[in-house]
Amino acid sequence: MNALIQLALADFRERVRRFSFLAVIALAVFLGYQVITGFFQLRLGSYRGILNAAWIGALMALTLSFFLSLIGFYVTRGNVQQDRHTGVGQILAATPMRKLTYVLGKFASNVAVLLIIVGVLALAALAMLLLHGEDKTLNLAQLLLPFAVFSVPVALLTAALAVFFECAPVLRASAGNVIYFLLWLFIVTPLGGDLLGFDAMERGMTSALLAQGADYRGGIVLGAGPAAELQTFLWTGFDWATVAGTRLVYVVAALLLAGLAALTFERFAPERSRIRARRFAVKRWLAPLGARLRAIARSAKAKPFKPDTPGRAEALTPVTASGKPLRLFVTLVAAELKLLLKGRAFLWYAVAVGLFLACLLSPLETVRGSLLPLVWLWPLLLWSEMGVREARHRVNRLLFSAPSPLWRQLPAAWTAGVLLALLLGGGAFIRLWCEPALLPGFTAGALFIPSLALLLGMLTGTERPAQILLLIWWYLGPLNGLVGLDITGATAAALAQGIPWFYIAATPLLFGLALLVRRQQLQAGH
Amino acid sequence: MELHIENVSKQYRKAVWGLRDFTLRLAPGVLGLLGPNGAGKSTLMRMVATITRPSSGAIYWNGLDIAAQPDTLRRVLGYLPQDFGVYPNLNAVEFLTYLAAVKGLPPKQARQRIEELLHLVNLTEAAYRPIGAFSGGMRQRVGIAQALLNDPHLLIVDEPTVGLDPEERVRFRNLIADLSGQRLVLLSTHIVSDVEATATSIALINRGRLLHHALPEDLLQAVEGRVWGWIVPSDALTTLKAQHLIANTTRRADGVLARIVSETAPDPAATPLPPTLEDAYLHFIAHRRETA
Repeated sequence: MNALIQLALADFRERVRRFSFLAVIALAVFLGYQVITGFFQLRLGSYRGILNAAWIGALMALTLSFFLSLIGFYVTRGNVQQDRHTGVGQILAATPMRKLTYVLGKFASNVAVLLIIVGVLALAALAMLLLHGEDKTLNLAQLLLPFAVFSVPVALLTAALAVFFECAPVLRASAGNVIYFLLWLFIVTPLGGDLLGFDAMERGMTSALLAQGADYRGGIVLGAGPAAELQTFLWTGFDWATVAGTRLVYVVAALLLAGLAALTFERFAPERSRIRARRFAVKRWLAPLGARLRAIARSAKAKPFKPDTPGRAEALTPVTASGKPLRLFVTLVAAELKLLLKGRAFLWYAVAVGLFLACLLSPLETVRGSLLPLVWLWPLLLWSEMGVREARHRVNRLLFSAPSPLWRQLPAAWTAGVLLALLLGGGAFIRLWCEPALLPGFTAGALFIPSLALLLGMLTGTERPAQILLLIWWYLGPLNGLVGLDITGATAAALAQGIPWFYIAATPLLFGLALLVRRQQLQAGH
Repeated sequence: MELHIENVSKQYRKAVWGLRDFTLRLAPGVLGLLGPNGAGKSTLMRMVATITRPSSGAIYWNGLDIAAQPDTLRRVLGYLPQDFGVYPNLNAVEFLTYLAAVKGLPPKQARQRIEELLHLVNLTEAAYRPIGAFSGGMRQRVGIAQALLNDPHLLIVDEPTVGLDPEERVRFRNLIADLSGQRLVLLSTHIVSDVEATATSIALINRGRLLHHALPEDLLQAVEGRVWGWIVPSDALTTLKAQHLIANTTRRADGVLARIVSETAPDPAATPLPPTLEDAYLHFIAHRRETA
């Protein structure tokens, strides 16, 4: 037990001393502020509750549960991965510590971080009651009970999911971030009313509304909008005893999920993972073929290098810096492109080729509306590594001590990102060529997305912000037709309003900002 | 070819100094930087490698301030940081090709240079294996190869022999000795024998300050007559360690031979021994602690 506590404590201390934790707290404060100022409203048709302790507590807790289930995952994810990177994991693996102890320790640390966010929002609820309450009676039980009954189980389940995704093969990779987002989007949001607390609140609030003579048959909505136009009714809270059983199930489910994570945890020995083992097996099968091809390539050179004596420094051929900057840049772009593409699973390439061919063979409308947004989604994991890779693999000191660290490697990395878009979108480009009106959408996708990913990666040092932001962007814009976010012109309205041109125009700005960030990194000596 | 470090200080936080008023003028050869953990060796190397800037003072390469014109040095710089990483999915050739392009080497020259360097660091057989599967020593050798890619005039190597097996360490020492002719090599290490084998001059650093910059023979001269061998019973060793600066102990049939660095003979039975650089290093570091 002591080991578990110390593990959780060390992990928690490590997190709260990072700058990113301050950003998380700032985010929580911002969310609370948005609720206080009335940006988020709970409404039942044209009704809302009188702003008393019960209503404000419910409003704040439901808003929190909704965001916690998404943001909480990304906030807490990464602690096992960090132990892998720092080598601390291997030290721990060599101790008698049990896998369950380790995983539960990480889970406890996740929970502690999320509970701090819950605490911030609980304080915000108190502030809202005192500042904007229409009935300022300070009933702490009514105010805080929704947090304890609804937000805390969501925090526990989110913390457990984060640790499960950290331990399970495939999910622990960067792809896990995208998988969780899709899981949240298509499962938690539409079907998670009970988990997030909306169903229970809706039952209680609707019955209170009906008891006060209103005729209302709809559901409960959490959203943005003016409060002044709504009629009010009195709601004095819910009967927690009726929901306690269900909420307890979620708490137990969270603990079981954390326990399940221990079963999938490889104790920092990657070769134990069957999937990795299969990948290595494929590589072993391909290795002789690769060696043969390299031998052929080497034999084609004019002067093969045949060392027959131990190497001596005096025997090294002198080199000079290249006088052909363009050729040098092309070489560097090719190397950056290789960095982006190398080491991907076979499936990734297969889907990429499939998308290329599908774009070539499908009707133009399908290409524009459905396939092109998918083409821009598929390399998301690769693009999100841009700007992060150098620090992640501790290569930055090697790069920063080379000539022109600002104007050589970074532009090459950006060009490689754009080139990747052009390669993957080549099929679509060929089809769109005969429809010049559609080309700005293609160009905007190819330029803007990698530029934003590069900038976010450099600013945050992690892939997650680019992955989450671009996924949300992709979902709202190209997929759901929110015109302002439709980068690629998937909808006719976006094309008509020239939306892609705005994104094309924003690209130099993003790249300029990336250069400024790199300049700052160089000056700071990172 | 001259490196002039003039009155350089690096302050991290209030009252936390990485380096203070450090001045050194260097010509081609191998400078061995010796000092305890946290002495400021890596800070100095990062500043010379243009990674960080001094808080005050200046560093000149052939008369040019490297803070103002870092690329003049970067073009001829080879740098092996103490804590560097690799791209694990690339093989050694691909990784070095990438860094050669970053350093501005023409592709054709780079190809030949990489083959030669991989041979030099004994990695030819592993050249096409992903670096992620390399041992720590093999990665270190990739690091050494990348530092030599651009035929550097100034080579900065921070703890280069960490993780190398004895055979590879000897190979590296020979390499540094070969390279030193027309180059300036800054070699930082805790392993005094590495410096002993290669350095043409030695700088002793402690708590961010330069204690001594001298030829190895001058340092040895400074402790001549101050190193003693004394055979004591095993159970007396703890007391002896509390009273004297002990450089080394060797078990013998008649007790323990303690190698003691001391101004005077610790005991009439103690006999003078020829000094080594390790003795000199301990003497100067301990002397500094006493006077501080």
